[in-house]
Amino acid sequence: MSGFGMEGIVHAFGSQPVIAGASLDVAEGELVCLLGPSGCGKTTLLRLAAGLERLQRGRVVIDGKVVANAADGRHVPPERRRVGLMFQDYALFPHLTLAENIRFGLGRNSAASAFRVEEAMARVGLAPYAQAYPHTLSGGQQQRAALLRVMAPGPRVLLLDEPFSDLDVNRRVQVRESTLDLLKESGAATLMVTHDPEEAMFMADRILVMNAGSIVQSGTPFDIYFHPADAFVAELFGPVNRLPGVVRDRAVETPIGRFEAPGIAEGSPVDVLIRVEGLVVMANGAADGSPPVAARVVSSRLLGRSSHLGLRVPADGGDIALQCRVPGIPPLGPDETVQIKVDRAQAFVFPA
Amino acid sequence: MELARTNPGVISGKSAVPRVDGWTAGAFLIAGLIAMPILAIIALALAPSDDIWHHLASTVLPHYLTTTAALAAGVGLGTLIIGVGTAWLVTMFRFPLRGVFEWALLLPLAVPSYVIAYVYTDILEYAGPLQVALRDFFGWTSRRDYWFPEIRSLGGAIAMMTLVLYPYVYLLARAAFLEQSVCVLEVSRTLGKGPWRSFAQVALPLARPAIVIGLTLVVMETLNDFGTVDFFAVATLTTGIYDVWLNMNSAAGAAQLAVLTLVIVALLIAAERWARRKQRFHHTTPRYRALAITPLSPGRAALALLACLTPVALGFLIPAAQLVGFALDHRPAPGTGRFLDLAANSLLLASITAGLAVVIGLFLAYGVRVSRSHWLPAAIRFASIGYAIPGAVLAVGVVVSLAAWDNAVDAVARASFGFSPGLLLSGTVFAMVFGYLVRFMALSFGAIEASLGKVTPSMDGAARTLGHSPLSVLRRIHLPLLKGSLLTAAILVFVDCMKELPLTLLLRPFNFETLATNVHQLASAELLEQSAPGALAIVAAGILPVIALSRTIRRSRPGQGPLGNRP
Amino acid sequence: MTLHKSLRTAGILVSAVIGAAAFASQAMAAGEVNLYSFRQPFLIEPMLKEFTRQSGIAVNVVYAENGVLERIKAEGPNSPADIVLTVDIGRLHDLVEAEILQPVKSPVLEANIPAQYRHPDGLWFGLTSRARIVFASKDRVRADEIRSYEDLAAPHMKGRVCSRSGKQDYNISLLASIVAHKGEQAAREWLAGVKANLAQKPQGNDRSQAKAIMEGVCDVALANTYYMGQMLSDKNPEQKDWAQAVRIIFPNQDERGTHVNLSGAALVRGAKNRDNAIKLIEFLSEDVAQKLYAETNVEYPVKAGVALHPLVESWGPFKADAIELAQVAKFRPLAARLVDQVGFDL
Repeated sequence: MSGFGMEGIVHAFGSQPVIAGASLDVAEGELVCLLGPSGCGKTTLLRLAAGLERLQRGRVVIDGKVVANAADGRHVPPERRRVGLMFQDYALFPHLTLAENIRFGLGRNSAASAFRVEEAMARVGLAPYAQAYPHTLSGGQQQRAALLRVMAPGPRVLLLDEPFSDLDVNRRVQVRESTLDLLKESGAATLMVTHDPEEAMFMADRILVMNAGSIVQSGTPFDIYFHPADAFVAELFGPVNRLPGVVRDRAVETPIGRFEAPGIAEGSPVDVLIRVEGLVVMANGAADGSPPVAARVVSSRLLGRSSHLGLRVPADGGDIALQCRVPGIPPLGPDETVQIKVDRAQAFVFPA
Repeated sequence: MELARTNPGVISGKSAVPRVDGWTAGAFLIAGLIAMPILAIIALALAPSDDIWHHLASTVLPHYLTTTAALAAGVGLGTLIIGVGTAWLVTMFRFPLRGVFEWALLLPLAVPSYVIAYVYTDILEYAGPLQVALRDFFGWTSRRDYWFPEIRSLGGAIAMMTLVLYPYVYLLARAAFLEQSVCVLEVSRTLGKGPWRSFAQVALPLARPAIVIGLTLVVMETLNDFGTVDFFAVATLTTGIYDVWLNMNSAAGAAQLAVLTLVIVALLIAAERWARRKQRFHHTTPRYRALAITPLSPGRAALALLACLTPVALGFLIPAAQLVGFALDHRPAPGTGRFLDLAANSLLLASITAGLAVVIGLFLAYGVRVSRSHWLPAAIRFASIGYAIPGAVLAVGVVVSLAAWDNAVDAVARASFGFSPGLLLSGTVFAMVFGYLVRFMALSFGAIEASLGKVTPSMDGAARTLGHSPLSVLRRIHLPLLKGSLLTAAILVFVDCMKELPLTLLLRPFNFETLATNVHQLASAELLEQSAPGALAIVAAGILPVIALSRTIRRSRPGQGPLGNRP
Repeated sequence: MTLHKSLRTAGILVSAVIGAAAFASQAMAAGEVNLYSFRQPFLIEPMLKEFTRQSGIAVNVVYAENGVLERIKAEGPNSPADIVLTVDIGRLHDLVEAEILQPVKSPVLEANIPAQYRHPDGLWFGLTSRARIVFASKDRVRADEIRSYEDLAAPHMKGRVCSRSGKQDYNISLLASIVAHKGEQAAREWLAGVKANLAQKPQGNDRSQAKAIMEGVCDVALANTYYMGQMLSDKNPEQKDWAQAVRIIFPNQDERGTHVNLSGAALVRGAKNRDNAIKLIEFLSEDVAQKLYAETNVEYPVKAGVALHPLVESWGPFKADAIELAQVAKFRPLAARLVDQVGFDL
């Protein structure tokens, strides 16, 4: 099999467990994002894949060859794995020019490689800075240089550790696109670590969600967004409304409606999670399908492309607070009453 | 920060699987070897002895302590003002000869303090040229006609030591100022602070760790000095150590005093660390802009020029000129027939020691970086405290520990092979080099350890994944990045070895003379002028390395590469 | 220079050093004698050269001061040292106390060196002596003002006395001799008296005392005889001026005599070249070497009948304190404490 895989990885630093059994594979030409909060073990996984850390349990396979196996102590050193690893801080060498940095991973041989470096630098707009030292460049330029350096030797596997986190927001969007082009062109199996779900959605063919040292879900961006495996995954993509309830007749009743709870034992407590964008404000109470619910507006704020509404819905034990996000200008002011309904695709029921 | 980063592996990754860590073991071994003489002194201090403390406490100890404190404080303050002030001037402002002062300010480093003390006594005493000229000018006839500061005094000792020791502070302060991003200074300016307050409130605190290292070296040098304080009849803890040892015939008592000195030094260092325990001094921005060099108005430029010229003139030009004068008058001094041999001995010893000190310093610094042992840094710090021990006492520590080793080897050889190899290491060049290493480990390890932090673990990782073996990473990433500090370490050790006296005297083999011992044997026979050629040679041998050192520091500034923006 | 190159060079040098060390330690062959010397090599070179020329025995010297005793002790029976040369009775005494000497029984030495100037059991032998004399201003000191060490503490010398550190070997030795003669209390009072008379804080060396007298800082100071000779023969005309500003007074001529100190030699207990070493000590006590000592160092030879330096000759004979120096040396630690108690140097 071409591409790259990690199987049954377990890792700890001293008595501190970091990875509690993780397996993954990335096909040739595929871009997989490893998404998870800080400290969940993503970076360690990359370092293990690159060979910068020694495996404690499990194995790493690249292009069908086992490069590391804890069982027999096999450990191909990083320099012989043909794995490119791009660091979050770029780790450009301060004593080398940009061109020297990019050429660092190439053999001393071919003039052809020198040509390719120049060509590549020109493509990403770095040609004028070939002889400059890294610290004189902007963050975006440093990022591109680091990326070129990783890709220059033509690695079979690319590992990117938060490649955009040091960039400002506007820059990030722009750099993402050009990076994606370069990555796709290279045809390498790419594993990219990020804690930004939007970034993962944008870049990934497939997303692996990681939490507390385990991979909790693997799937396309669509799957991950619309079919989160648990509350943790659902909440990765931003704030949610959380409504507690109990399963009765394979469903759960809430002040804003009844939600199916397939496969959850009768009588067990559950949470209904509804994304803020999953609450739809009805224009003039027009309903379609499920009955709308009346809610009182508590606050309304314009956020730019969308607006944020704070709502209150009366319920048996007192009002419940909800928040929702609506496109454009907030349609209503405080103390007005609106009809809301739930976009069922963005509501999930998980055992509490 | 993820966990992996808090536990960075350098060349081999770390893991929870216990493995035999050769590097840690090696570092402990070396630190242990270097700590042997210090342990020997502590053992000596613990040996049963006459009680000298009752006598000392009731007579001179308070005086020793106050004089020592005054000396250390005076020299510390003097070197702080001169070192930091001149470093700031040459780093931030444009004035005539600034480029020359960049290196010239380091020159006094090459002048041994015992030499500068002799020279200034000659110049400033009653019969010296200065007072003679004053008397001629004002028509005074005897000492009772006027007041003139006495050079042989506590103040004189402070002045002499300040003049030759301030370069340590200058060296480290300048390197620190060069490393600071101008951004932090500009932030300060925009927050409404003037250039001087920006200096005092931003630049200075940021450079504090470096300045403190410089001051620590200065204070340790001050405490271990015997030649100057003895010559100036200033009674310090160090003269007390010699007195208890040689006159009261209590080596154990002397060792106890030496250990007391060490404890004081250790407490001072600990107190400083504690005082800044909550501050962090990393640069918060990875981007540098060249420091804008501020031009000065003619009046201020003249002041800046004067401020830089004064220490160079007093610490180097005047003593060197005086030595040249002596040397021209007294060419055929006794014992100088083999002058070139002496110079060759000095140069060879200093070079070997400097090279070894760098290799060992590098090994230990990597040890600290790779090892998971918390004890290793402590062990190395302990081993490098030899710098604060008076040279002759440390020399005894070296003699005792090497002889113990030799005699143990001899006993084993006799028991198992029936022959006696005698003393293999004692009284050899090896013993001298070992002694120097023990003494100067603080210099080389300190300089290297500080700069190893500049090589981030991710640089290692990047280089490895780009197809470079650990050795290649060392060669292509670490050595180029550490080059400056390795050279700094080598040069500091080299210059100090050239000047070193008490260890050289006691540890050398038969019939082995160096420039320093030559100067000493003539000067101790009160033949000051005849010792001048040797003293001059020591100074001369230090000049080129010192200039090289300055160039290294200048290049250490980020952005000073071939196409970097050179101010 | 590239660093890996210099590292490689360093590696080669390490091996070279260790090789050299091994070589040096094997260089102790026959026909040698090894000296640890407190005395500057250039001052003893003429005698040692003459010895080698006459006997064919090579002489190796390490010149060191502080720590020689500890070095011999630490090296133990394997010490390469055969002889220790010192310039002060105190050091000789310390060597005896440390039990690292062996006795020498030599008719030559006993004949050449008066009993007062050698250890009763032959543990050390004095080779030259120097008197602790008073330098007095030619102009400002009347002949009857200073006749003894005790006069330095007398009220009429108030503000007129200079001294180097009270802890200096020769001053300690003088003070110890006063303790030996007159007891601790009298010695303390004397020292306090001298301190009260000091014109400035104790400082400098013996030559600078003469200089201070020339400068008018003070009128009298203590010094060793040979410095006078060395200053007068110094190439620097300045030093002649200093010397010519002072005359010398041998104190206590009417009573116990002037305090003398010794430079001497002792045989180390484990000496490997014992016979050569004894030959060398004997040689140093003979006329040739004694004459060289007198000439080059302007000291008093211990052997009777050896010609003095003309300058020394011109001072005429003096009465030396006849007390056994081994007795004096015992009081040195006490003398050092007295200096502290009186606060002489402070």
